[in-house]
Amino acid sequence: MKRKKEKIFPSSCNKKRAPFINKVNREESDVERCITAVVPLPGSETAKWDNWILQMAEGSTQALSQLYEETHTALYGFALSIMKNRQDAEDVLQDVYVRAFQSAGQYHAAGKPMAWLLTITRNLALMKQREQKRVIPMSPEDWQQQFADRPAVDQEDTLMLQSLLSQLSDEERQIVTLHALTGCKHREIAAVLNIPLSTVLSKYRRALRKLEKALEEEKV
Amino acid sequence: MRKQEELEERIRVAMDHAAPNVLDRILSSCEEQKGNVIPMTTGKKNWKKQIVSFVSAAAAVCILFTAAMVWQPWNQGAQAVDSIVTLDVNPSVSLDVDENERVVAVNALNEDGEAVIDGMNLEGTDLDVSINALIGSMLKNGYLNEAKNSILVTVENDDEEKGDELEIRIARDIEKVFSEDGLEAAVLSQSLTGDEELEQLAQEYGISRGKAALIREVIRMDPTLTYQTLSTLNVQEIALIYATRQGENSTVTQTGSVSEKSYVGFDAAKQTALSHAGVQESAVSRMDVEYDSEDGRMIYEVEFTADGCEYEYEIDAATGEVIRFEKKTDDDDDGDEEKSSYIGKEAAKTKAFAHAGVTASQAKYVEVELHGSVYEVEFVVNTTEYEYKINAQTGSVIHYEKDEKGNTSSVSGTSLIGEEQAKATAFSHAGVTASQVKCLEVELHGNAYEVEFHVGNTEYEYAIDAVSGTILRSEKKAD
Repeated sequence: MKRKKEKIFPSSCNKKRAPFINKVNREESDVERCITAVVPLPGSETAKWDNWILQMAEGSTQALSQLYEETHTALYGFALSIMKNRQDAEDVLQDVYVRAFQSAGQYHAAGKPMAWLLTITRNLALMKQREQKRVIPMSPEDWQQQFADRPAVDQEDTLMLQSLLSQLSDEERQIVTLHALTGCKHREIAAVLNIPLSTVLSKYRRALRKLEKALEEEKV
Repeated sequence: MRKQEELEERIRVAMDHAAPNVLDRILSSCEEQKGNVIPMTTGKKNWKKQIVSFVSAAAAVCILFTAAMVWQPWNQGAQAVDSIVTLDVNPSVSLDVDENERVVAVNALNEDGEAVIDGMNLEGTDLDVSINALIGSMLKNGYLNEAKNSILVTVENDDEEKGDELEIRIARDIEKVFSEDGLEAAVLSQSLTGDEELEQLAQEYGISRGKAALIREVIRMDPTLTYQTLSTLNVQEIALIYATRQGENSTVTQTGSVSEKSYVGFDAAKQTALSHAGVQESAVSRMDVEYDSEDGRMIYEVEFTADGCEYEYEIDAATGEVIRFEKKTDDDDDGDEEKSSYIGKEAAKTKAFAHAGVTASQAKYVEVELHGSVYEVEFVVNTTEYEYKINAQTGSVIHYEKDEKGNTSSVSGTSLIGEEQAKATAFSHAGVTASQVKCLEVELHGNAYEVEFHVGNTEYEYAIDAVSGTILRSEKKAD
């Protein structure tokens, strides 16, 4: 749908999207400040994760393990929502923590550990995509099989994963996943994804409606 | 809203179940790398300083001392550094090269540079092989492509002639790598001998000495530009700014033309400015277009005179949108600016605050931007995010959104025709009834409703002016 639209409305699409994107870029530092100030994670968690990252900079793999335990579901979900392929998402997840461990020393803007991790995730995922030149998404039929060796993934989970993949656009999927998994506010999500807040808001709403409808239909 | 939480909970559960456990693999890769993490700056920086001190013939003792320090790490052969070759794109990588043009050390000068090197071990290889590998990696990683084709090559050698010769050879090598991919490279090259000022600039702005030298050159051509703004741009962007200002005695050689594929182009920028100003091209007596940057984004600065008025436009180079404009009459420098017909950003803020029932001191992270003739005002009060669109001429609220902890209530001001009316207009134009329509989507973008729907195998798309209700565009397409 989206691609078609761009063909039909080339000028309007460019016009409405690009200035926002630029704005986000330009005011990244403001947005980052926002991430710290407006919507902190529960205080103890932010401080705890910050502390672990500091320890990682000193070489503590124990801190790395702890950070992994508490954040890997969110980062995996985000990676999966970009890569649309289980194996690639897994690779990205692994790389993210290795990269975080290596660059923990450069993590100085304390107070936004999740935003930092998400940014690393996004960068690595996009880099991987560029390497592959194109995304190799799993077809909806694949999903059942791909997660077959994960006994924890039940029928309902498969249905949800399938709906996320097949019903939503890339941006919608990333927005919903981030909102559900990270506790990030829309404003922070806008900053991580580099898209305007208004887009995040409208896509989030639309995505939820689509999901609801898709799951509803499956039931019938 | 319970539905929303339920859905999100289901996503959380599904992802939690689907997430793999790769901790062991992560830990073992981290353990492996623990031993050989090399801090990238300190040691190398000293060496650069040495060249400077060497050239300026500082105390012999100092040279002996530092030379001894540098000798040690590479003591397995005749490996004195003869030249330093730096490649800047956005990734910046420098190569220390010995007399036989073998690479003695590779340094990433920024984060992107690290990504480009990406574990390649280039030490001990020939310079041309290394350059080839680095350019290849930049192409592969998307730092260079058809739209981003500019590279800065800087050769530092005490022997000016030798530096120049090497500079030309490297530029040619790079062009070759590009042409193998069917692309054209824009290579900017320069050779430097020791220069204290450059070292200082490089340190101050966190860039390579090569990039500092290029920026110094650009500023020499146009003293209104600053290191502060230029240092945040990549070489492609600096090259474009440079290209519209090149003067005489340039110290930077350029081969190939800098791609403008990411931007709308001079002509489009000119046309946009003229049509926004309502001026015929034939009435223009002077026209000047330059690339520039504003808050990190590329813009066209379009200046022209027509009918005794001076116009100044800033056009977003990527989108072609007017960011700012000014109109002055020739004989009146400070007054009579057309932009005064807009209420101004401050007034737009005040209107939005008043509408939201908040005070200026409560509002945080206030952003106001002018898009077309609409001010977009965004701000946050406690945990609530507000977004307003304010008519720039009348100050009336066109649209607002309020987001409270994830729940969005969107309410439109009375001046909009509303989604229902927009739909009705589109349906009647298409000659269809609401009951025939499938996959209906209505979205407000700027000042227009975009209405999309299907009837049978036909897809319709409409853009309806949100204020006047007129059809701006219509498309009909068989699926």
